[in-house]
Amino acid sequence: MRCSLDLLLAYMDDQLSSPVRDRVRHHLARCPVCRAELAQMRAMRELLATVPAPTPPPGLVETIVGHVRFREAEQVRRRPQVRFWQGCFAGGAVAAAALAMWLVGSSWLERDSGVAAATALEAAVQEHIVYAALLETGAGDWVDWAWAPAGDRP
Amino acid sequence: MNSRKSGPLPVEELIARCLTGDVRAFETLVKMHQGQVYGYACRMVGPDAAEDITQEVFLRVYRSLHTFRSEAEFKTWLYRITTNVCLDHLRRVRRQGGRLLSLDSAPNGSEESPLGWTIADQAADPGATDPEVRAERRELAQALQQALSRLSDKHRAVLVLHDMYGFRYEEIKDILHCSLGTVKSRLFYARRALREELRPYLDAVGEWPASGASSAS
Ligand SMILES: [Zn+2]
Repeated sequence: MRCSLDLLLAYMDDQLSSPVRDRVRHHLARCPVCRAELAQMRAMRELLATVPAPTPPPGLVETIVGHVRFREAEQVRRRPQVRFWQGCFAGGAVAAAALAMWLVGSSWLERDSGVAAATALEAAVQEHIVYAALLETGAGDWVDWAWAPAGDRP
Repeated sequence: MNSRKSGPLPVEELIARCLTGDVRAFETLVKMHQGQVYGYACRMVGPDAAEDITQEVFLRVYRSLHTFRSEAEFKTWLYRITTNVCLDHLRRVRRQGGRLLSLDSAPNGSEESPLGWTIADQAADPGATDPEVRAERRELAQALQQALSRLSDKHRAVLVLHDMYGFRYEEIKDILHCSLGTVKSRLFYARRALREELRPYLDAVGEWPASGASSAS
């Protein structure tokens, strides 16, 4: 067998089948160059395995967990926001509700004014959300603000 | 896994809790692994960027915790993310023409070496109280970091994972998404190149304290 660093390293890592391992061992017994080579490679592996690991800076865990908490809080804050198309959809719903109220209201209003008042209030709240959303998405130019609640106008 | 009953929670359990929004469970997960991620990042990108890299890694981990299944996978997965974040960083810095793995970050004469080889670490080592020995080891540690920094990123990753973190070829193949043959050849070239860099020091390594197996435990 000739000198082979490849085989020596495989021998060091215990990656050889036993017949090849025996051949390398046999070669090592008679080749001082390879013995020195193996000793150096072992020393290097030892050095790499034993050099102390760097210690993370104090407060690193807190910083990371802080980021995650912030993200979580952000997500909760963002969840109820009305997006533009959702706003349009809600706007349509409000209009439909208003129309229904106008059609049915005249006869129902006398009989059950409590229910109608509650519905009207809900519609007003919805409407407020819609106007707020329209403002936030920058769609304000297309909106007839005369109909918006005073507080929602730009 | 009965042996773990009274010990810390297994990783699977922690992850299951994280997925329900339990930030404390995530904190435990970070505490358990920050040393590995930070240490590996130090070897890959140097100590200057290692802290930012570690933060980025754990934020990525948090975002994609739902994508993996077992504890065995977790370690490989964590090192894969860390490797990717490190390689991205190195690519970015190189594009900007910056210096990498700067050894100047620990000024000459500073007690802390780039490898994190602090006085405290040395004091914890038996036989490291002698100032001369300490100086020698600091020099060796710096030579090692410098030699590592001269390897290509991919060669360095394989060498660090195999010889410093004890990963097997198969695991490195999964971490780096490459073939087994590539792992073997990169390890071979990395070791040969590193040996050339460290040759002047290796003759003296006989005096180095033996590994944990034969000294501490
Ligand atoms: Zn030989």
